[in-house]
Amino acid sequence: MEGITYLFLNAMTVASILMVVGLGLAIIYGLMELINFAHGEFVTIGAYTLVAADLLGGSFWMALLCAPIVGALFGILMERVLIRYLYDRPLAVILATWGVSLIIRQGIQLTFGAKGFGVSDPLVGTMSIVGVEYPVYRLFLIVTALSIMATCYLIIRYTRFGLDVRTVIQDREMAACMGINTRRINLMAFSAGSALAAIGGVLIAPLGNVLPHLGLGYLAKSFFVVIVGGVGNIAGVAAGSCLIGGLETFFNYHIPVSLSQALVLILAIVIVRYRPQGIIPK
Amino acid sequence: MKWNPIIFRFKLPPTLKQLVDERIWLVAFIGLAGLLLAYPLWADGYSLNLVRDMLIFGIVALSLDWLWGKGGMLSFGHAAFFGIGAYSMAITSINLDWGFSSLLGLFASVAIPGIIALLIGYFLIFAGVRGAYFVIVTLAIGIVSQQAAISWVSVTGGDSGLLGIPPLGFTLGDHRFQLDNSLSLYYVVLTVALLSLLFLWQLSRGLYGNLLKGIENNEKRAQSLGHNTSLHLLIVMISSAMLAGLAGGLYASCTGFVAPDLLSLMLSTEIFVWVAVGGRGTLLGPFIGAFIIMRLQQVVSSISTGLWPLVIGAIFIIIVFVFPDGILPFIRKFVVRFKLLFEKSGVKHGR
Amino acid sequence: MAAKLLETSNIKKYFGGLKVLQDVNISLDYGELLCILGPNGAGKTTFFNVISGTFKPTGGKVVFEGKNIAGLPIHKYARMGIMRKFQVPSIFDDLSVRENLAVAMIANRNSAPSNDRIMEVIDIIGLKTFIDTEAGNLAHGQKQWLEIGLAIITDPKLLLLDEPTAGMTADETAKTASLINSLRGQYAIIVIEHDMHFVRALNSYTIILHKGTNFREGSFSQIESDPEVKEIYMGRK
Repeated sequence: MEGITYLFLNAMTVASILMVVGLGLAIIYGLMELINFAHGEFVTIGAYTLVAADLLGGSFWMALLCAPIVGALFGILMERVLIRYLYDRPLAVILATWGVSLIIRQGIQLTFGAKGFGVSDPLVGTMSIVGVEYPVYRLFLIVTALSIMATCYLIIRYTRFGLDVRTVIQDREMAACMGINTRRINLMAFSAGSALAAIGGVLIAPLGNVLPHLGLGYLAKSFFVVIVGGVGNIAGVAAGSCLIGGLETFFNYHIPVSLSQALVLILAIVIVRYRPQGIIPK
Repeated sequence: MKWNPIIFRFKLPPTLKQLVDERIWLVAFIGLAGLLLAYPLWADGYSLNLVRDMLIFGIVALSLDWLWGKGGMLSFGHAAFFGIGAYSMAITSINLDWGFSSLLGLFASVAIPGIIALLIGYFLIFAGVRGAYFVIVTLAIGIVSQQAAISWVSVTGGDSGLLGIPPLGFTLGDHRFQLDNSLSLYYVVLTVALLSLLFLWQLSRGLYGNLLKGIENNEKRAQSLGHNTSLHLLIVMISSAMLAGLAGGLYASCTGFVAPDLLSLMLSTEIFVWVAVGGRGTLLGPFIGAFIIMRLQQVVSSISTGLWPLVIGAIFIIIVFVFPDGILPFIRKFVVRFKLLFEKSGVKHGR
Repeated sequence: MAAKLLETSNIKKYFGGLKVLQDVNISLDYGELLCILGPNGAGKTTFFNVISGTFKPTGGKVVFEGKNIAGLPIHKYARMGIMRKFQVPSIFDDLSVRENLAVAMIANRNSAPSNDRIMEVIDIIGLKTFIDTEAGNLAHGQKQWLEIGLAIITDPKLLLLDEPTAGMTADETAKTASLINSLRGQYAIIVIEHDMHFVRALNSYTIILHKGTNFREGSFSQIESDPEVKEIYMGRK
């Protein structure tokens, strides 16, 4: 019984991070129909914001506040300088963002070094929950991720801005005709998506070593989350994260990490074959 | 499966533009082939091996161009097929103690990537996965296969890879035949490169090339005319993976070792750049792109090793914004303009 | 044996709760020309999508030469001899006119490809001076004709033309009408249109599709003089 609870909580931890990062990707993809191959680097930027805060004597909480701002600023810069010229060339966006991704990754490596940084746990100790002792920080992470999801859901569902966003997702041209400033929505979507990835980065950092290619693994995984869950809705992102995070955690208990990731990939491909609604644009 | 050979036999009368194109291509091909065939006359052993490796990477780039330039599907994890080919060669020939094990290894290096491409391709292509989605999934395949190579230590040797791959050859009774000197390896690789290049060119200059172009243009139309487009694309993907695998097998037996960076994302990225710089869809361009970019890599790395990823990143952005067609189409445009000019003045003088 | 080329019985197509087609019945002989008329939203294109394999019908049968063909993959329809021209010109933009036709020709294994046949079709569709022009550079009407050429090059049994005159000038429309009239008798043809004038020029058996069902059918003059048909078109009640 205890084993199952641990398994569940561990799966929730992985799924929570995927949720936040995947949501960022889903916002950019759902709204702009653009695929951002530098999304993983925004996770890295978030994690290194924490590293920088640590080195400068700041706290985790400060980094958690700063990271989304840093992420959003980088996002705005990227949208203004590159992406906005490429809206009608989806493949070019992939290539340009991949170029940016390479530059950011190497830039971080040249600035901070290739060696990993360990970040101290902001919340030490364990807490007793449904009969098991579980690290407080991980519980905090799960709660934070869920509240971010809930907030986004409420914004999209109940605010004027959310209505605009839903309209753009439905039909971009029609939305523009009805007086919605789609360019502004694009910019906001891109910065919001980048900010979410950066928050994800800060949350991940205390769990392990922070390395320059930290975000790369999350790039592929968050794509699977969006693909499996289905494009264009928050519930899909949540479902996709739980599926991918759950499967990976479960497999990790029984087989080597790399094999389990290969298995998750294969499963994602099979899902795509039989439930293509997720992967095929309407 | 019914395969219609008429696609390969039936020829349309070429237009003037096509004739010019083909002449440029043939001149470039013959020039390059002649240069490479004669290269051992003055090259030392070290540079011979260097050019041989470049040619192998050129074959990988060719295989990506076949998939992306002709089939319209961009793979962002193409090094996976190359690396799997190399590892298949290594594992088979190291572990099997048999007179023909290195030949069997070469066979495996073609067959295994082909089978993997068949499985993945069947699921993706018949599900209608195209364009950007294909890029994402192949990227993921690249990441996962690299991780597998690093952490499946008992088979792949992990980070340190596998050493001691025997050279290509076979033992029959007491007779032993082995390709273990630089010169013969160079010519084997060159032959494979030139033959595969000629073969794919010949295949795609006729109606089959038109068909592939048509599928990329308007797949729905091709389907409703009666073409089984998914099957055509699947065949292109499998053959591309097999060619990349063959290059991997050759690389493994030439260098004698394999390591996880053979299927790294960085290599996939570089393969893409070779094709894009050389000229997508030209088949010959990727070789030229591979030569130029690898040369540039040597220069940049000699300044500072950390600089190269930044340069590659910048090249991506340059490709997107300034140089979307690549070198060969650029030269073509130039030659066509020059030729038109020449012909016009020729006519004037003639009359 | 008096088997029909194509018979549909009680074709239904629902999208969720939206009932686009309810009980569409047509029957067509070899070489016959049929026009399906109807206002926008009557379900004409959906009906074409069903009989050309793009959609699987929710209910009913599509019987082609005695076989129920509903639900087969799209490329099989073409190989049986059903060819379709889409409403928006759908051709291979980067290929020349000649190459377009060649790619269409090799799709069907029943006929041997030949350059003569390509030239013959180019003649029929009147694009002789544009043989080596890239299809993307053709004028709108020429693209439509090229698409008809793609459809007829393999000598199909049934030709489906979805609004062949959409977006054409009056001159182009007249040319298209005479092109279709010249193909009459060689292939069975179904034309869907909302333009009465064009259908008048074809003057064939006509079905009015309205709200997803056969509303009226008969010769064009019968249809034209039907007061209820006029109501549908004029919106009088």
